[in-house]
Amino acid sequence: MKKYWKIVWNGITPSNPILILAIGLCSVVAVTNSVQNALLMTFVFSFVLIFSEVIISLLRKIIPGDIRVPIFVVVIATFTTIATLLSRAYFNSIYEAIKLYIFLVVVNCIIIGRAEAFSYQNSIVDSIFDGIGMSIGYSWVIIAIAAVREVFGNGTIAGFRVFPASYSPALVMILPPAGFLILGVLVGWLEFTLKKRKVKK
Amino acid sequence: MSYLANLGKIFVASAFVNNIVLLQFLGLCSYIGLTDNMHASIGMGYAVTFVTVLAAAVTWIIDRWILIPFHLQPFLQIVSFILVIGSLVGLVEIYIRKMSPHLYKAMGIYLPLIATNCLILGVTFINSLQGFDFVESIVEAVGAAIGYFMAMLILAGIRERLRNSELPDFFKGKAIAYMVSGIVALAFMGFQGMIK
Amino acid sequence: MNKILKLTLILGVVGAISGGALATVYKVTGPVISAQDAKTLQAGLSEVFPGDYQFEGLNEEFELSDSVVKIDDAYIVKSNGGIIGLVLQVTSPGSQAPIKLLVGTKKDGTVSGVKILESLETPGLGANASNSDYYVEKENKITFLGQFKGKKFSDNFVPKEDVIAITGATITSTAVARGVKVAGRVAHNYFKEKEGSG
Repeated sequence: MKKYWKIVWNGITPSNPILILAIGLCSVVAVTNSVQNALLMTFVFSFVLIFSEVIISLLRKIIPGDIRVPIFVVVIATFTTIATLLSRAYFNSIYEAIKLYIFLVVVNCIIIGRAEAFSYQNSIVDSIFDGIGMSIGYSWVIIAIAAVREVFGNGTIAGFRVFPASYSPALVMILPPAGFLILGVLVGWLEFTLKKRKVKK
Repeated sequence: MSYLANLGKIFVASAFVNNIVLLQFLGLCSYIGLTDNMHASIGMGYAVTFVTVLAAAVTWIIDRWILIPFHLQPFLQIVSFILVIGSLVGLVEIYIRKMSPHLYKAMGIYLPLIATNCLILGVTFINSLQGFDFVESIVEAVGAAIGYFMAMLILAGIRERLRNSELPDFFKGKAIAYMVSGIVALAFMGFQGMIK
Repeated sequence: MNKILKLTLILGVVGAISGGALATVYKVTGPVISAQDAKTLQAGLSEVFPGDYQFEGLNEEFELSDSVVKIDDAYIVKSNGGIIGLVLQVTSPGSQAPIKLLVGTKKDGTVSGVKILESLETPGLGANASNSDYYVEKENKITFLGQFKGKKFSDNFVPKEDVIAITGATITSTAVARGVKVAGRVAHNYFKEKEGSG
């Protein structure tokens, strides 16, 4: 059990795909202007990542090494399309707003990176936990950024009003550049705390 | 609006007003990952420009002549586009290595990185969503590539200068790169007035 | 050579499996998606042309006054058998992707309502076009789309003249205004033709 917790925890902070490895960034900056967008993105990302890891780990013994990357890509693209069709059928209005970034989950470097580095070498159960860990690591970051941006930029969280209507929103927070600014602050803060912890030890 | 003016508008929009990297956030991995090295930024810039334009042309043909006529677009577009771009990158790499060792040295090592660069796939999806015709697609691709090149050069230049400035340790590297990009992106929003 | 053949074969099999899986999923979700689209359309139609009327699809090619705005679909509005209006689905190029609009037009030569069906405008700026809490005229609580209600087909539809633009989103404002203008012209011609023949 401890081993699995370690795999999951690895994705949440020590090798957090966004904050530490700095990969798969497109969607992080683009869809975080509202919590709803971030939630749909989280769903699509986790769905694609976990299922792709399972399938690749299942087939790892029969996938020839020479053509493993094209096969990974086909598997990931298949699940991305399934996720696209599902979100189009059941979350149509949010889908319309961020569809370009949903399509681009297929080239998200986190997913292909985990396929290559983890599930191609590890068992199915390990891969599932790795997928869960990475998904949580990805999700908490984009939902946190989205919450900050939506609260200050619009006075709401996932559409529910938090600040009174008289609050005049800081428009810049939901404009595209704020995604970069907040990500920068978050990365700086994480490095700051990690460094402090190291000094203490 | 004449057709030519429309092309001009598409170009300006994709290069400046909706700069593909700073305001549409495509190709961010290489944007953050490679810009601490000016030389690498330039090599990647050339490679991306070349492949984006080529990919836009090929995927347009596939989209219009195969996927749409046979009603395959809703569920085969993603798979076929990514496979086409992947094989295209492979072919270009082999071709360049054979034909021009000099060019290969300049951009060859960046080619494998490109297959998963979201910019190229992103541009092909934008072309398809917008319903662009062939020429418009090419113009959009050129604009996007130039926008990417520009953003790479700007950030690489700024980061080169930042290396010698006094920053708190934990902001050095990526953190400050993000924040600088945010400010550059704000500046690029000023181009909004360029098209009507 | 044998090896290459084998690898190609494996890749082909994987591709075929993936294609088959996708086709199956599409078969299941396809009807849900089209039902969803139909529902959105019906809601949109009664929003831009309020009241208890029947809408009927119209198959007709229209002559357009603008080279980049396109008319995708048209619906005639009927009340007690008589045509009282026309709803047009218009595509106008937005700042990132085309903006799909529904424009309701009345026989008396005015716009009855405008709704955005699909757009990818910048959040906080252009996206305010479809925001029901964003007012271009705060005192009267008129939204950007609301201001088109009651405008005449013969108006100019130019932002900053007779259309109030969204702050920081000239492209979006122009695109929407242009779409409405084209729809107005098309409706004008259509009603005139009907009058002439009937």
